[in-house]
Amino acid sequence: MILIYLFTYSAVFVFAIMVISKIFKYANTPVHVRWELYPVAHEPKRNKYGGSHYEEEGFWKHKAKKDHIAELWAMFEEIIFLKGVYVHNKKLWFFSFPFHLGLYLITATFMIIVISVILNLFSLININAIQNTADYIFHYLTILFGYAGLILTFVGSIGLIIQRATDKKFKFYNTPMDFINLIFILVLVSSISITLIFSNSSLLLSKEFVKNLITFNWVDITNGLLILNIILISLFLLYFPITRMMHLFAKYFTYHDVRWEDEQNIKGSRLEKKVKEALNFGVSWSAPHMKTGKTWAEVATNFPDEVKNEKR
Amino acid sequence: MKKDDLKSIKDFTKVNEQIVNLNPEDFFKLPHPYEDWINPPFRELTDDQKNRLEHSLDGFSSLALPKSQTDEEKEKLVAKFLSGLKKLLSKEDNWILLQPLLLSMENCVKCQTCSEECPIFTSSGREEIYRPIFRGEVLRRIINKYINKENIIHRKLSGSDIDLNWETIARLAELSYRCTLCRRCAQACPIGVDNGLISREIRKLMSQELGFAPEELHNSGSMKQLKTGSSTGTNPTALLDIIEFIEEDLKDLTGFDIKMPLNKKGADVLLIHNFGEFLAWPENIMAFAIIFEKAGINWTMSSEMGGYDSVNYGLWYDDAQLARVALEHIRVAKDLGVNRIVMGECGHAHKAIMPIADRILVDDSIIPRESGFPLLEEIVFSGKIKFDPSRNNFPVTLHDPCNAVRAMGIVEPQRHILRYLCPQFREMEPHGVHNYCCGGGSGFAIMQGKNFPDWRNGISFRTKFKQILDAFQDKIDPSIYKYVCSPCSNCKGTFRDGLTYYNAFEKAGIIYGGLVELIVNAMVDLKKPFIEWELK
Repeated sequence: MILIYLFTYSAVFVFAIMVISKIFKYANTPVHVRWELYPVAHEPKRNKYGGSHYEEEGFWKHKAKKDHIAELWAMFEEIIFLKGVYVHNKKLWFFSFPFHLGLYLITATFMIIVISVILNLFSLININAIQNTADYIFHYLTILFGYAGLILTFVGSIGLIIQRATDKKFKFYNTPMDFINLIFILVLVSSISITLIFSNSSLLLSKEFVKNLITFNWVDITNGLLILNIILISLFLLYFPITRMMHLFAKYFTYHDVRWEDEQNIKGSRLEKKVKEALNFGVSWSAPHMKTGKTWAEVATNFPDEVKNEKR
Repeated sequence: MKKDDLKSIKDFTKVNEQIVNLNPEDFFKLPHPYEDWINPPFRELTDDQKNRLEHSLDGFSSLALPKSQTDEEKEKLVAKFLSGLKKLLSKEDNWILLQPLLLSMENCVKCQTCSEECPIFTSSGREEIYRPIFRGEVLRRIINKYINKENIIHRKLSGSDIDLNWETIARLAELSYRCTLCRRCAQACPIGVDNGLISREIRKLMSQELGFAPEELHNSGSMKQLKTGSSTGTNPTALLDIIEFIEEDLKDLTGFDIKMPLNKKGADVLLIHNFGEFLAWPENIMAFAIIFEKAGINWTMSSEMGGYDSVNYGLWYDDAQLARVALEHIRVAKDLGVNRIVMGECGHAHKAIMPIADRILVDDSIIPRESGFPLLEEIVFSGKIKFDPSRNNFPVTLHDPCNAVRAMGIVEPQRHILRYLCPQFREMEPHGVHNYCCGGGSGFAIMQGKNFPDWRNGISFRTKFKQILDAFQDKIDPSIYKYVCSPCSNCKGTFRDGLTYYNAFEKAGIIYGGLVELIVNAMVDLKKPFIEWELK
């Protein structure tokens, strides 16, 4: 039985490492040129129609203001409601929205379980009986989020599988992995649902398992369906980071570091320092006009030989 | 091969076969009075061109890539492409756009939300190779197999089992020039994947590693600009003659005796135009001069090398050329000691010198760069010039240049002016940051070689032309003259060719022009109309 625990620890560990390294990879890329797209969510007032500080004569005389509330609201709409998909691809949204919302709710359910177990360890709530308001809230939040998440993800994943399999525009680009991702999630939520339906004690046993994981108390698990679910969830954690489902984390960077990134380069700023560092990177591009072996600063300030020979 | 015969991305790698034949009958119908319009058949390449040039994508050649290669030469080109691809993914060689590129290459879930946003895909009758994700998907599979060296199981699962040959590379390179980099696809992508960026980066790889770029952009474009001072080949001496002619014409046309200020040290504003204006639309140069003079702006232009042509074609295909031209503009401004550079009506020049150059400039090179639109707005509403909007009492619509609007958020100043000065102003739909590209973006406006203009006029301009017709439907009679305001030189070039191709002046009374021409046309001081109703 210890193997189940070790497998779960390993899965969580590998998942965390893979996710952190991916985030680290994106976060540690060098400064890049501005490549924003409007509307930029934090542009005060002008974000309504997509305007920017460039609309103001002499914008460079003062630091651009940012509306952080508007940015948070835009993030909320995009993450929770998939606003972009709703606006541009409604047919997909009808399945993509419940699918994503369902996954968020399932993730929230796991977090509620972990929090309730931790609170239980400090004797702040009960996890095996409802004795006070806090117990009640945690128990029914778990039930509500859990069942809603399972149903929404189930419906969404079936819809997305059918769309992918039947719509010509998807078929051209489909790969086995696209289906494996969705089928894996469908199997996972089906398995958890069946377990909850046919095993009354499974929710409590799940909480006990999490508690045992946290306290390194590797007691036997007797419920076969629970073991199956633990294995499936662990496998999913191992599989997730090698798929494009990692867009969940990448999306932060595509919005904040690219689409909405409009910081002005000011003399003496940290940004200017980063630009200077980048300009000192070496160039190995080999086309005749590129000046291989020089730094970017040297390339930019020296014309190609062909120009020098003919010029002026 | 008919388009339905393209069964999978693997077909893209076939040797010795043109994979797509475009059929104008597949294109969407245009509104009145073009219900019965059928695009003339596309010109084919000559037999000589077909023998020499790689054209197996769709029968067009924008890059003039060599076709007849020995196996050894082809292998060398493939190896060079792969070495370039590694550089494209490296921090040192591609810090300029590495993060956006990685994010786009690694996170597309192929949801197709972008597809219907692409005017080239929809205009072409939804030709599969023009779908925004197509080229990115090909590149992604090449990266997975040849750079990331995924094992065979992973390749099979992720669909990355693609064969790389010179034909595939040539088609991919050509395909990067079937995208105007308008980035509507990126704007619609819920994840933020940017297929326009991927096109741009393929172009960069081809230019910076293999030395392939369209003649008009590189040899006759940015290289010529660095050699002579302008991508048109106009040197400083010739510029002075041109300015003299323009001053004389300005006096004849308006009665205003205006001397264009040149190389004025310490001026507030250094105005830089796209040099296309001097040669093709000198009335734009005149109009700016009239407005600035009448408003009392302390301004100058430059006749020094690097200071009189705002174009920066490197924005579309090459980082080194982009940086070199931008630094030339900055050098001239610093030498003159001006307070700020102001860009005339040219979208890509706006983007190159303002947001893009912002991350290339350091120390004293960081000098203010502004768009001309807010300054014009300030002048128009300052009361310094008297206007009579009834002089512009004809239907006017506004085209939004992608680079200045979607990529920079300069949306309202030009509209504010038009709403005031043009009583019959009406918007296109969609407009503002959701506009459609003119169809000549990313260099297409100036790419006139071989049969490429047919592709541009027939496909990439088609959606914009539909928008224009839709905007003017209530006044579509050709006897009612209508004005498409296009505050961008490259867009104007596209309109000139496209409206001529569709015979739009005769059939619908449509001409195009800039923003400043409308401003001057409404000036009370003007004795006769500034706008001439002809398709130039």
